[in-house]
Amino acid sequence: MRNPLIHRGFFREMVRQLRTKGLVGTFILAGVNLIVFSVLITRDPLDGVMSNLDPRLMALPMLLFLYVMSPIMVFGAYRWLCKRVMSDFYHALPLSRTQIYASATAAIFLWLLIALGSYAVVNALLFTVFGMPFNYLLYLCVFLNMLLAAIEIVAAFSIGSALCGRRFAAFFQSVTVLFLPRILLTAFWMFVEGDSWLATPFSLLPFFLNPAFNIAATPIHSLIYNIDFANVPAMLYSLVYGAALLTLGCIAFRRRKSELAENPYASKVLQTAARVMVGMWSLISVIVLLNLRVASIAEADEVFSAYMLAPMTVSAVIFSFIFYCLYELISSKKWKPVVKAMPFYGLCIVLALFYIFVPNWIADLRKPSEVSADEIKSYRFNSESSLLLPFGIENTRSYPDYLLEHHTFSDLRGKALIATQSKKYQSRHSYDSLFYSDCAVVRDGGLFRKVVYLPDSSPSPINGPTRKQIYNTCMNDPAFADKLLSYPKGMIWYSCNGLTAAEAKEVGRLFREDFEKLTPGQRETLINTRNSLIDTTSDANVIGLRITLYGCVGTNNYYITYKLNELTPNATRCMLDYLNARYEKDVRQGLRDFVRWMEHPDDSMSLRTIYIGTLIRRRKRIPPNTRC
Amino acid sequence: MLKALSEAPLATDPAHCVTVRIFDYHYSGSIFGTASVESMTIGLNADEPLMKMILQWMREQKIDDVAVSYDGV
Repeated sequence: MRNPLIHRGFFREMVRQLRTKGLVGTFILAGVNLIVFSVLITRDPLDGVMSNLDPRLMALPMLLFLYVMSPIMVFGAYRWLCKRVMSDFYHALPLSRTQIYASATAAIFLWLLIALGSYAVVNALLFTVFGMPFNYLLYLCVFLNMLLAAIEIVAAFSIGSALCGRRFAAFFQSVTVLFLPRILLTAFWMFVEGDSWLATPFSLLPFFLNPAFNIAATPIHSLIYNIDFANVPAMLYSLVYGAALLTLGCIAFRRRKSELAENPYASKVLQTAARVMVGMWSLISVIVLLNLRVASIAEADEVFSAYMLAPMTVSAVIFSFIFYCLYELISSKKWKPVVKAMPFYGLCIVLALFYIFVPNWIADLRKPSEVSADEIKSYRFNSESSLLLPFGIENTRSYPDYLLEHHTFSDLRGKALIATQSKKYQSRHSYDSLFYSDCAVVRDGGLFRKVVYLPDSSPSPINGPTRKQIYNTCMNDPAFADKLLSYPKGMIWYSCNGLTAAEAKEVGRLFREDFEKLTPGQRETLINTRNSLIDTTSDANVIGLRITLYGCVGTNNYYITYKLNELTPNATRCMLDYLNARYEKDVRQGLRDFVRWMEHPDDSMSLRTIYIGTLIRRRKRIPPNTRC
Repeated sequence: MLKALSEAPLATDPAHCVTVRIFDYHYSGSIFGTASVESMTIGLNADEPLMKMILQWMREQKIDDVAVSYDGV
């Protein structure tokens, strides 16, 4: 019986035709693994545990691969669509259009799957063999997200190929198909949630570029927040969206006429949309770039800025207009369509102005939204570095943060306290890490969506609660305190400053035995709460002895640092045994150098700092409300 | 004082131990001016007269740790 979708012979032929591209892609990703291998094999064992719990490391190579290889594969599979003779030949084959489309798409996916799968398996094996922390479940989720991203990208470029007879136009129309729905969807949520875009038009671009970030499931409020790869509803949305795009590609392919080959486009609407996108984004880009340049020269000199505003805007419009016309000229290779398209350039200006000004205008009109304690479903802390990275993907978080996010308060009192302390929440974000909270509250947005509110930290004074306040509030809940002061759950890797992974593991085993003999009050003194709920200070390992636990529970990662002192005698003794054996000579020499320097100051001496610390615990005055 | 400290016997018992940690700063000298820090720690006997003196001073100052820096650090 004939398969109405996949024609085996054509599928095999497509696999054969794409083999060079597929193998090159596979080898490129294998090259990334080779780099990982060389880093692992040459690393200093005393650098402690290298963490690969952070999904950024896993996702980025795969995402870059997809953005480069998927269009190349699609254009390779459909290259005959751009040559009239070849197009006539393929259209005359005794196969249905659906079979051609489905067989070609299946061949593309097969090669992408081979490249991504072999990369992912080897990557996981490398980290396992070298005993590095690795969250297998999270890695599987990242991999599934990448497959969903592959569906979206391949489908978008298939639509572009089906609707155009030239590759240049096909590329831009595919990009429009891929990104325009994301931009429109974001704008939709902006109005539904009554929220604004971020401060600059380019702040959102990393999220638009990352198909794993599903805007339908995680609306505008969360755009500044981390990407949750383990969000099942978001993955389902992505699957449905990808399937819809694939179906649209099939419809476009079935309706395509062979005469379209070597002609620029079949759809005037899509061509206009692509042209307007080119004009609009080039206008916004030039304005932003010029604005940055002027700002760097003028340094907020208002007179200079005002003086430069008019010529800057005119230059941006001229540049953008040239790009707009060039796009039409290159795609159509005729002057007539360029002349016809010129009046529509005004649309680019209107859309760019809308994009730049209207969201801020709405934000200014809108009153700050407030979240009552009843609405709060959970709390989240931002990790320090995640906001600054181009793909804004969730970083490893501290154990108290992990607990806070997954803890359900037994009564509303805890939630109410935090809500009261937070005073008001506004989605406009300003980041201030250590002392004032970047704690966000999460409420149910319906349709499986979680809406994240961040405390407004501008204008000053900062409205958010301090981490210490939140810590005290949390510790009032016995269930939370019990979890925090128990030994952490899940798969755990240990890291001690100056010890190899194997030595740290032994110290960790002894630490656990010591820890479980302690009372909750004693355990609390081992957690570093110097300034905040979370140990975010970089001096965590500077003074005294410390052990850091990297753990994962399900798809969640965490880390926590404990002090080692006379409360944990076995672990401390074990660690000092290793350290004394390794560093006695160097430290004594360092002390002698220092003494010599004090007696005969010498400028040529290298920069050194000496810390002297006791391991004898001092009694701290613990606030009454933090006691269990 | 530090001369005696440099000769003090090693210790591992946390109840009678002082940790001494030395940081070495290595500058790569590249155009980015990156620096790496290597830290080395050992435990010394807190029952030594010199250590007792240091610990007494730390108790009086109500501090857990003391940093001795030079060359502008």
